Amino acid sequence: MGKFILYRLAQFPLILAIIYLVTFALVWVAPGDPLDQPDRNIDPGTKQALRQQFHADSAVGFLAYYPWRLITTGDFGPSMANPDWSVNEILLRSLPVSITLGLFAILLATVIGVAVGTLAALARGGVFDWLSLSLTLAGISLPSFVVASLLLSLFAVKLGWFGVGSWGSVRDLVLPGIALSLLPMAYIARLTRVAMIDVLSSDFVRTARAKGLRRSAVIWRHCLRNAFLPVLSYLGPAMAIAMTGSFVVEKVFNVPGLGQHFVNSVTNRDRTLILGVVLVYGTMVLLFNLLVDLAYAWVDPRIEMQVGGGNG
Amino acid sequence: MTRLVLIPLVLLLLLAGALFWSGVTAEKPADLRWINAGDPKTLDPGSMSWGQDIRLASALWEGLYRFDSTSDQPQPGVAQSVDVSSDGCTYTFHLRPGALWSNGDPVVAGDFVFAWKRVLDQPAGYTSLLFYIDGAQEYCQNVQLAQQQLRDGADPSAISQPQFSLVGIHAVDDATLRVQLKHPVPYFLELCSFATFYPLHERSIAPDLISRHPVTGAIEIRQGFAKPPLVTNGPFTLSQWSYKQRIRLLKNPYYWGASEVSLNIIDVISAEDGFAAFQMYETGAVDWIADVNPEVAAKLVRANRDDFHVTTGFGTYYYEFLCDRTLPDGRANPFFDPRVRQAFARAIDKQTIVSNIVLTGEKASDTYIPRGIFANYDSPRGLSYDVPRARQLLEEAGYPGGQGFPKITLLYNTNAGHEAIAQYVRRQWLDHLGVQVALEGVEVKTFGALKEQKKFQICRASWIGDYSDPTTFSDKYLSFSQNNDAGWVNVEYDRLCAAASLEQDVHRRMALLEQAEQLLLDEAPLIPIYNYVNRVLRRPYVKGLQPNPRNQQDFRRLRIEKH
Amino acid sequence: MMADEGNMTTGKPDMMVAPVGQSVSDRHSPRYLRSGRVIIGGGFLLLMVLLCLGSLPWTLWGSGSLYYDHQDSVRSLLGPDDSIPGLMGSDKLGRSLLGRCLVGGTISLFIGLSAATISVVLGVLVGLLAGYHGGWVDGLLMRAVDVLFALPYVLMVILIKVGFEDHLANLLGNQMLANLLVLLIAIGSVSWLTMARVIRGQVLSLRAQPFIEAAQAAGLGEGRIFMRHLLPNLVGPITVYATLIVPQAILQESFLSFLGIGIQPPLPTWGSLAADGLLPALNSISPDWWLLLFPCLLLAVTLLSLNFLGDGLRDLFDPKRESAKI
Repeated sequence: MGKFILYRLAQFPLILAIIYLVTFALVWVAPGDPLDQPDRNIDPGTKQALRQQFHADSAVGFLAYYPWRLITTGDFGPSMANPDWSVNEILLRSLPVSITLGLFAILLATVIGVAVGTLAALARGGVFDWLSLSLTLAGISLPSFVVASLLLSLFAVKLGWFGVGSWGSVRDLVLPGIALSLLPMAYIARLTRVAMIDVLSSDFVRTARAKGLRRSAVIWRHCLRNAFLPVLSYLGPAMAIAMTGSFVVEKVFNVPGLGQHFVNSVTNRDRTLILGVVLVYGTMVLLFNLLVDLAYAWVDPRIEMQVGGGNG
Repeated sequence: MTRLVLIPLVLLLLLAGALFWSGVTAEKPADLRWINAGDPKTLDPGSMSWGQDIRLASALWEGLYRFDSTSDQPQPGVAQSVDVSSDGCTYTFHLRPGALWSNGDPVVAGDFVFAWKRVLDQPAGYTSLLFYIDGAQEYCQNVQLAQQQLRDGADPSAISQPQFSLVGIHAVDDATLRVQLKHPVPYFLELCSFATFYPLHERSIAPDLISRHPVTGAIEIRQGFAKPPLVTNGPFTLSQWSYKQRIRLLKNPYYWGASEVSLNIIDVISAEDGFAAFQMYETGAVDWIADVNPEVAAKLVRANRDDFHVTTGFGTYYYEFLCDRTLPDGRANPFFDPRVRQAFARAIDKQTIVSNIVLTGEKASDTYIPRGIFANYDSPRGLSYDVPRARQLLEEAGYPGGQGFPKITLLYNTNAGHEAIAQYVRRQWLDHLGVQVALEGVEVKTFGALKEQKKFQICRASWIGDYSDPTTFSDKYLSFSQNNDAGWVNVEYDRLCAAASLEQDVHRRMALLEQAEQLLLDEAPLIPIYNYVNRVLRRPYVKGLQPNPRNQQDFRRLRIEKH
Repeated sequence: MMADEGNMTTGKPDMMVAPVGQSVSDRHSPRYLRSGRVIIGGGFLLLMVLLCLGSLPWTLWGSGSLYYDHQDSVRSLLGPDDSIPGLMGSDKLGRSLLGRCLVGGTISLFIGLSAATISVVLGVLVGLLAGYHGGWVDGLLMRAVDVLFALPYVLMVILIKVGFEDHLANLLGNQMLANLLVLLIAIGSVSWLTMARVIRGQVLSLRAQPFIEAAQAAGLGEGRIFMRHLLPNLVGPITVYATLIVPQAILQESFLSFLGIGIQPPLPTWGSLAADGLLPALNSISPDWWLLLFPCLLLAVTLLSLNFLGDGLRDLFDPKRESAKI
């Protein structure tokens, strides 16, 4: 077990380094400069001076400065488009917001998704099965910006149940959380349903029933755990994605999270911030995949951890 | 099974922890909550160049003079009075004895010298505004040169030292600042109210953020100092800056005019999305939006809302031609011929654009400098919409009915409604001139890069003035201007502008500038389309917001009157 | 970024299109349900395709009021009840929303299909190579897929788009074509990862089976084994995943349109129409609801049909498959 974790952790730096270089290459070929404004040109001398301040006058200069600084001090450097802020400050301020929202959304998605999936499986072929399947599909058949905007317009603007554009109380979590949870909820419901149907028809469930155990007890004790396994392996990437924020949800609900930077850093050509955001995301994905593999073993002790056997 | 239930429980626990971590707290409500025209890029006055930053900075800082929304003329700020020499080149400012920093220190002339020297040492977007000062431009270039030489490995003793003492900025004593200009600048006092001219409090800047170059003595302030606790000298202080969330300003008790300041707490709320901002306003989360999203504004105009205010703006939306002899790809440029440019300019019905596409009361314009924004400036007449004349011009230029016209593209950036106008104009040129123009919509940074490299034939453009003088517009088309994207070179235009800068008499000076604009409009390196407006949404209880073309505000005068 | 379209592609392989590989429902749900889904989904889809393609002579090449870029200032913002410009009302420039929806549907479906094709080709190729060869080829390819999975999808798509569009436009000399091509590449090139993993898993299990060993023993060439023996056995999962990638690609395009970097106007897609209709339709001052409702309705019905079809096909194709665990 320990060896397995170590083996996986040892891969992280290599993968992250490749991610850094790939992103940097893409960033460097993109036209435009973080220091430009669309309708006003900066004096070439001034621009050159500013570029040198940011160590961004050449690709080699950039790569000679920032990665080393990151490795030695953990500092991503200043944000090139918002120079008052360092990338570290920006990440540290927006990540907690996104993690809070993401956790809430995943919790909601898991609880409701598993419940709906289980009930659908129990009523398979029936009306509820059909209805829940169609509903979960409908939830992911509209662009998220439409769903999020509809939620906001109806529950916050029209009915006034929630604040608009504010961030600072538990109530502000609800609408963005729901909007963020729809997609994973749909997947979890479908995963649970299929797995549950599978489990319900397996031999040990029939045996348990034959022994006279009540249906509900069998479902609780035996079925859910097995049906939860595929959900669990889905949760890893889903959590990493949800907890690094969503551009759409953050834009519609005016949430100061990390997701906005996935888009804004590129439109601003904020090279340092782009690289910071990409590394944080990569780390989260790697970490959560590892965590899920561990949780998998914990929930289902039959699974053995093998060095090199991980698929993260 | 218990293990399974544990997973959501652990998640729940984590959630509680995260809530705590992300700082969900209750705070004293602000007197005024408003949304600026976008998040500030920086609060360092020396490196500001965006309108929203400058608007906010005027609440935090005060220059020698300050913007006053009621008179639209600069009023004494830190300076109590000024003596101007008879040749209009020497300004002697006498500083107000009661002017204090927000930590109680007096504001002295040295604070201005420090801040201005720093802008020259560490240039940014608006450094060139300081070049009106005698010797400033040369000094700035020398600093850059010396630092480049040092980087290239030159011997420190061999390089020529930049001499700041040669620049016309002198602190005579703590209360007196003397500034020597290159030539008379009638609007210099107004420049003194601009962010680039604000003072800085050197001692309060953390030592690890400020450095002086060991050889050249150039001051460098590392970015990141403009955050709380920041010592400023304006009516408000920066109490809190939650990135992309909120900026909280508190009244500065040390401000010399504090008794006139009505508000105690101002919150500047971030809202990247214009629609989200509007919904926040509608539900009472904010009281004032300084720049309303154009689509929302169009709806507000149609609904005739009386809390929505449209006023004359300080800029022009236009198309410009690349006027070089050849195109970037080496072909002959049809727009080198002024007749072709005039034909294109005359073939657009601008009235339809403002009545059908941009719907917030913008005025179709035939001039580059918006009419009526400068006192004593009488705008010339530009080219009118005249399709037969346009066809005739094109024929004279050798393209009857658009025949033989080379393949050209119209460049614009895809956000902010430029698309609809481009589609309309393309149609007009096709219908009226028989010329096929391909549209090239690109993302905004790509747009900026293409334009700066002059890789376009026709492109969308706009210019927004900085100070109350026509030169803030006309300078852009001087042949040596770095902002002359059109590459239009006209010796006569340069001569008229130069003559104007030496002319002391206001009326003769304006007449020269009017002639220059007339020339510009006739030669048509650009097609003015419409003049910008300011779109402001505010609750009736927000008082003291004075409409003015630049949409700057005097935060001292803002107050809340709820019954 | 969960709710941003299509980043489920960054999910674990077997999970992306959710229960795909694990469907066992066929064993339990009545047959009419299965085929019902295929018939309903496929039927609606066919109808939509016929409508969009069949109307092209009027909407794309015509010059009447249905032409997608027929601007008419008199008809600006008419609701469907003002009925002059056709069933669905008109937009700000007075263009018929019906015409734009039909052209938009064509382009949306085209983008979906093309992106799915790109990811199928890439995914199958990588999956086949990795699964069949095993060893270092497998290791290298799968580690590359791991790295790509750990890249944030949204950021990558935008970077690819802004980074290459201009170069491509210069190369092709046609900006609109370059725009469309980059869009396809950006969407297609990030959604093949799951396909690669699934195919690799399938190939791994196929390779162990006697008929492949027999073919190898008979000295058949690699290409021949791929074409004659492996591919036919992969048609099922490929079709299923492809069907499910199409709706994702369509949603991804709508997300890019929401960001303002999607299809180049005046060409519409359902996604760009919905994104453009958001503010006009949802503001409380004067809601022009039709601008959002109709594109969304068409989009939702089509995506639902595609998802139904995908689900149904999966059940039909894999009557016995238990799991595609890799």
